[in-house]
Amino acid sequence: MFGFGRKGETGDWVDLKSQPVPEGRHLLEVDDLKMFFHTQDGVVKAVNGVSYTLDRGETLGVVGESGSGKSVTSLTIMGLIDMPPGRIEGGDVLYRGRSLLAMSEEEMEHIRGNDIAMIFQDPMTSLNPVYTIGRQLSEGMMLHLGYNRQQALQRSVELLRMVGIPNAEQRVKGYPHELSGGMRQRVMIAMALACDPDILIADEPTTALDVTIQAQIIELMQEMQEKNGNAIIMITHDLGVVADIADKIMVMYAGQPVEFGTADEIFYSPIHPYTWGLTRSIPDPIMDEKKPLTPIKGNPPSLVSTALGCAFAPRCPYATDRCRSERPPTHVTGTGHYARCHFAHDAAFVAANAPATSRTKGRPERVAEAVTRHAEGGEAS
Amino acid sequence: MSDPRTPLLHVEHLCKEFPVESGIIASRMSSKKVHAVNDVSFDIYPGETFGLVGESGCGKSTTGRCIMRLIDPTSGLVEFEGRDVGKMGRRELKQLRRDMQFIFQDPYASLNPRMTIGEIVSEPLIIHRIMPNREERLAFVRELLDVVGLNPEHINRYPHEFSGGQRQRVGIARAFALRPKLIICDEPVSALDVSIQAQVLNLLTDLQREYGTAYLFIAHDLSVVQHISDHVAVMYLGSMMEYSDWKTLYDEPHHPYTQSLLSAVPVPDPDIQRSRRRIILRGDPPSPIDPPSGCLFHTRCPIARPHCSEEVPALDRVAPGHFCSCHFAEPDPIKDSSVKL
Repeated sequence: MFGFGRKGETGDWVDLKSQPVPEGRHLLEVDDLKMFFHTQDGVVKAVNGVSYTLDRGETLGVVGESGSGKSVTSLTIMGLIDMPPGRIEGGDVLYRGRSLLAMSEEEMEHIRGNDIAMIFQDPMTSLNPVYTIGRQLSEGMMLHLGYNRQQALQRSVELLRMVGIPNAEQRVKGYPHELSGGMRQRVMIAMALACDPDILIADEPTTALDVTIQAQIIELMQEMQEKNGNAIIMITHDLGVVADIADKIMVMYAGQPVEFGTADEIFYSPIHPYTWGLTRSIPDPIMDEKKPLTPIKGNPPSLVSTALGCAFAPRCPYATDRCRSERPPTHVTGTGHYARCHFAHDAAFVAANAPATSRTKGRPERVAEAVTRHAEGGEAS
Repeated sequence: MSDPRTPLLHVEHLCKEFPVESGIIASRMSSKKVHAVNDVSFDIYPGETFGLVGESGCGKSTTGRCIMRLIDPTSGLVEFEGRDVGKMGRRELKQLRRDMQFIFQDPYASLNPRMTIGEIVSEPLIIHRIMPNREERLAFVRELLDVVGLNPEHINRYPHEFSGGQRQRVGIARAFALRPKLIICDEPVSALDVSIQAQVLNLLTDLQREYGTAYLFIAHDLSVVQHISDHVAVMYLGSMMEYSDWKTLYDEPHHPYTQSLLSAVPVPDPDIQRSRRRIILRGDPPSPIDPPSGCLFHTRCPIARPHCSEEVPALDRVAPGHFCSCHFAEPDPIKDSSVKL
């Protein structure tokens, strides 16, 4: 809140954002991160070996069902997990070459909002109902950028205008309940972008919104990224949401990334049976006749259970005895596309079982043709 | 909407207004009202699925509740098998609810946490005194649990011991216990994970095929509605914007609102998603307390003209079985445009 007496003063803290990324490093590197919760019922392995890298201007889509650990991963990065019951059991998170896990709470306060900002699913509960929108927007700027109240309010108006809120001068004096869900999510985006962060983590930002509003918010996030060059981590359960904005996608299951690759690899040449299952579960948006869906059998596993083999084996239609007894290794392809499956390296198995995509089906043919043309044209020039 | 068959459910000019002011006197004095449902008409035929889609606050759930008379409509006619639901007395209503069941959105809130799932599923049988013999009833409940894909041995477990998808199966078993003719499914899969959603949709389709039950399927997710419905109506601010069979609606949407809804659904295919034409609507839906004049959609409509704010468009027939409420409606095959580069 206000009155910390730290206005305009950042002490001897060096703003990491202004530092160059060390040679050979990425903006954000998550390396084999493990976050377990120690509860009465046992150890909940919420995040169990997550690795990825992210650079400025990139968008990472994190896809998974509820309880797959996708939110806990980003909360861990932000240092927002209560410890205990949480405990980091291994791995590291490097931001511009500095370990976030090793930072003190005071240092993390400089990171949160300033370098890495986050927006949440429910814009009503993440805004404080008793403070004006302007005051909530100003808070971060006064803390991190050393603005006084006047400057911060002025900047708030600009930010609201930037995210497409009409009547911004009046709105800064208003309260969150006066806004619709979509407008509140715009305020959240404005707040997250206030200090021009390097990384914007969006945790299911459109799940609570209607489709037409969802389209607006995704468009806004893309616009803002083009303008500011920030990286985005988009957490969602909906493969469709990340289809046109993600550069890379990580599919999570039971606390583990089961597959990771570029958006093209995940959508057009997925190699993990869980990714296949997710794709098959979605009703085909362009269908000519009714066909039953192919759901994934069974229910998501409890994260407490310490099954020996692959976490997906109980629901996997291709599981063998080996899958049930032996943890699958990570199979990495030449392009960095990886999957945790005993059969991921088996091209014949993948070809025989992967779902047909619009590219393999040749439907819509015109798209495939055009893409080829585009690729050829791109190479020629 | 002409069809030689006799409809199971006939809804005509259904309207529901809610007073904005609370309190007996204030609510009667005030002229401010929320027009939740405004002149909605449709028929549902035995064994078919009728989909109602729209954004939150468009009146789709209120329509479902009015049909079952969980709330009384302000005006309009609801007929179930030719009988006027609005004129039914207590006894007839009880009989009606034997033939018409409800599946709710939230599998956590719609099951009593203090009852075992066996008690939950057998309650309708007890209320309607269908199987007075306890042994017989329990055997039937076990069979039902098996049909919906739950382990019959779990009959004495409590809802909290089940996952969301399993709880929704309990809700489905309860709805099917009386072998109803119509089930109103109010967002039955929107609280579930994608992989579980597909399981529940397949279960609903299988049960329909087996028992010939009709569904009124209320949802906001167009791809889910398209998948399960025979006919679909699109609602906006309490009114029906477009109505047709599922294929026509998705192949040749006439109404600009339907077109924009379809184009806003994210397609899990980057090639298609990047290349198709997108209509992104500006602004939020207006408040139903103070709806726009003329066409309700004109404030957000990409093709609105001055005339649209003056005259309310009628729900006109644009093709056999295809109705659209727009002054300037034109077919705009989103599908074709989706592959144009």
